[in-house]
Amino acid sequence: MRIRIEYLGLSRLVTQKKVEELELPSGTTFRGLIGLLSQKYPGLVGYVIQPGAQELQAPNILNVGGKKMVRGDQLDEPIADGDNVILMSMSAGG
Amino acid sequence: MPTSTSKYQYVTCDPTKCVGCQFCEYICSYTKTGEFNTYRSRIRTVRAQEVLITAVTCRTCEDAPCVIACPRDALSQDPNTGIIHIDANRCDGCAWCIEACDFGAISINPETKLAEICNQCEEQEDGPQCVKWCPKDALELTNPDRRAQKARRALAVEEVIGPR
Amino acid sequence: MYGYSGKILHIDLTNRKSWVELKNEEWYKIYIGGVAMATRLCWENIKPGCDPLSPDNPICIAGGLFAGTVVPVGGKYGLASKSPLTGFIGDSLSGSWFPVALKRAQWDGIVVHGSSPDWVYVFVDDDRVEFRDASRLLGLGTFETEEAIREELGDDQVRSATIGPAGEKLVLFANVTNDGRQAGRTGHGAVWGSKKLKALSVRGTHGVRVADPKTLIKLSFDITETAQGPFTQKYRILGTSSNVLNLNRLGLLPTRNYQQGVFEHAELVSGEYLYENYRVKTIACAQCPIACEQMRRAKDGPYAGAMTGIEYECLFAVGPNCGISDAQAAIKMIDICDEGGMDAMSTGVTISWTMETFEKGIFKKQDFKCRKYPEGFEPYFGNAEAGVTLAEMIRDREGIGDLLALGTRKASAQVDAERGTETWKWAMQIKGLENPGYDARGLKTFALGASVVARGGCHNRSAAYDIDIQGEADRFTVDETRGWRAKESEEYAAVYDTLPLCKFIRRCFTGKADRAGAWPAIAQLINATTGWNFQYEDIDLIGERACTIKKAFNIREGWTRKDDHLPWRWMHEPMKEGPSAGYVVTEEELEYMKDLYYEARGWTKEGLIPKDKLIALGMPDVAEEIGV
Repeated sequence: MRIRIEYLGLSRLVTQKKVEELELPSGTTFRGLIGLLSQKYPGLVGYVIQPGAQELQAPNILNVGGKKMVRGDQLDEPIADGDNVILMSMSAGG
Repeated sequence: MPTSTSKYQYVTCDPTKCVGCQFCEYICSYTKTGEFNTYRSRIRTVRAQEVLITAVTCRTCEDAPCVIACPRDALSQDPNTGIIHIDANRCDGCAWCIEACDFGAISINPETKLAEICNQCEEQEDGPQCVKWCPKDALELTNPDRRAQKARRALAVEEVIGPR
Repeated sequence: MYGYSGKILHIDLTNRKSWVELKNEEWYKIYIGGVAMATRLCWENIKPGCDPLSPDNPICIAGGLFAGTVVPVGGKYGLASKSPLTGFIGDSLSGSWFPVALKRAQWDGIVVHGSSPDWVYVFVDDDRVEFRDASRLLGLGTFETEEAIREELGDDQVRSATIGPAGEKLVLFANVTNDGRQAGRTGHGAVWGSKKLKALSVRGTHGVRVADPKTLIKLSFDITETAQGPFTQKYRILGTSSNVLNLNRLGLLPTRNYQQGVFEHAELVSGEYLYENYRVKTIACAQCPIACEQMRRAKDGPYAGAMTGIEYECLFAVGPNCGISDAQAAIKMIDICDEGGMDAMSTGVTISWTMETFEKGIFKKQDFKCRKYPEGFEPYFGNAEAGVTLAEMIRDREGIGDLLALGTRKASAQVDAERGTETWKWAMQIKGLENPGYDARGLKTFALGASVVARGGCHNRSAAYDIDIQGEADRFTVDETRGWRAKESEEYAAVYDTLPLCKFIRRCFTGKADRAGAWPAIAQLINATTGWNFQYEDIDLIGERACTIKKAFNIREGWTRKDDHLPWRWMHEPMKEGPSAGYVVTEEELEYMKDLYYEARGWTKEGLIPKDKLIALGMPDVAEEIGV
């Protein structure tokens, strides 16, 4: 399946990309996506992705379509074909 | 450790890394006096025009001008380490040493009115506390040869690989 | 006593006198410092019901428990007065050197009474108080004033809290600035200006001693090390401005006076873009090992050279909220606010109200006559030069700037009274304080939080937007959990505002920012500083007490339930585009959530506080006056 992933904030600085399309095996979970990103962009590990785990380092978080924030306990849910996934680091304050 | 080619060591600050947090000043004053008081710190941060920030302390000059300037021979320079020592019994707070120091590295104790200067925490086991504490690794106990070597390496990397 | 000197300095500007008030340790155990202590001092020293710009409204400064020590991010202080914008408590926080100087001068707080017949600045030199002529400082910007005072007094270590030209001219959202940081909101600058107080300068030469320095240093060292790592990365590199694109993607970025939640040019005024093109350096407040202040400088064009620290809340207000996509103009507008000494958030939201009022045909081009543009100009959304000029006109109270300097609530009321219009419907304020950069139509818990918080439209005091955005609660709907959620979020924030500690350190104790992750370390820091024996529950109480004293102050100044409201737009006009489109906060939803909130707080249905609640919190005198 094909998804669109947008990189905001720190992940954009590391990947040097704003957005890209990814081909994923159908049934890939959000956790699986994180694992894939940690291999494609090792620079994200320790920075955006937790070292040694397929989880994001707080406060980085995945969001689908601007509507659904993917919480830690939802990482094993499957991504849908055509989803627009956003990797953001939410900041409180400012 | 000084070698035949190096001069004395001193604590220096990298202004690109320094953010002006003043932790060095707090930990210096605490180490020397048991209190947090930047007026008693032997290292001082300075900010100019909001973004030009660095910290200054004794540069262990060769033939230290402060030692030469003191009319009461209250200052002496250790021939091995270059560290300046102030004899509080002789010092009368005339501040000629401060005139002589181009860097503003000498300060006056607001209570005793006598001069105070960095001694690189030679009485501490782990050396200069400010260097140990700086959260941005902006401070270094180093000497000019090492500074020059670092600069040459950084240039070589930049020229061959390109700027980061 | 460790951590406190036990002394509050009182300064009387009318009679040029000063005196010392002693406080006992029990008082400090309840109010601690920061916003809670400042509000309590205001409660004790104000003449209830007074005009905020009158001599009866005191300036109340409360120091920081950790200021002047190695505790990271402890260099903060609280400032409170009755707000000229809201008529309720105006509680603010600022950071950096001023509170450190205060601590070393051995004052826990300062209360300034009355009003001076001539422009004055007060120099507190350890225990000596000097009233000095400020006529030569008039018209100087905030930073310029600080430097001029240092020059005059001949010591770099003198720290000053100053007002700029905006405060001198009584712009109602003028602020108080120290060391390049601001006690930004609710209009303190106007209060100081009404007293002809240009600056308060402090020099403290004493050392600061704590109960258990070895423990304190070890704790501080560990927290400092953690603070260099991933938990603070978002602040250290891009800064809070990275929220522009985040909120844009969620459809919550206030655009064109909160008409939309998506800005088509968000990339051009994003934190990423500013970092890429205009970064200079990141600097820190005193006592801070994180360093989050992102200095950005305009490089070319008409605003070249403008440089200041850029935060999300200022950026949204003058950028997307005004439809402005010129990043350099945004830097310039924020710089005008910072130098001029006024709240960049309120300035931006007032300008966006002005732009909408113009686009709707109520204001005309000739309403904007000024020295720069004698024929007037047309402030369409997106007109960067208009935004810059309006900021200057407000600072100087020139032309229509005189009206706009009153803030959106008063300005719209005046316009509507004169012209029979309904501009109040797009005045984006709560209790008179202009709204922050989150659209509550898509953040229902935050809608509650923003409506009930004591000082008005504020994200910082509520922090409930985090619950909605992180998905802990459904941000588009309402349920029975919202009351206690908003209460706990508000109290969590209030703990940091009272110690004070900068909230940016919250993850650096244990890696988790919740109460279990933060309270034990905070208790250790407090105990190592003071020698007290605070436990987890005592930290909870800090937050509850802070919120309660603020609410009590408001009640005494005439607050009723209907003052916890939301702007008309959030209740009647759904957004048309983006992921948060289609929602409003209905009357039923809001009143239901307020019921839940008051209940969670243990208050009455009218939102008043029962006597025994106040007594249980250690405020028997407050119970006497306003308890029910």
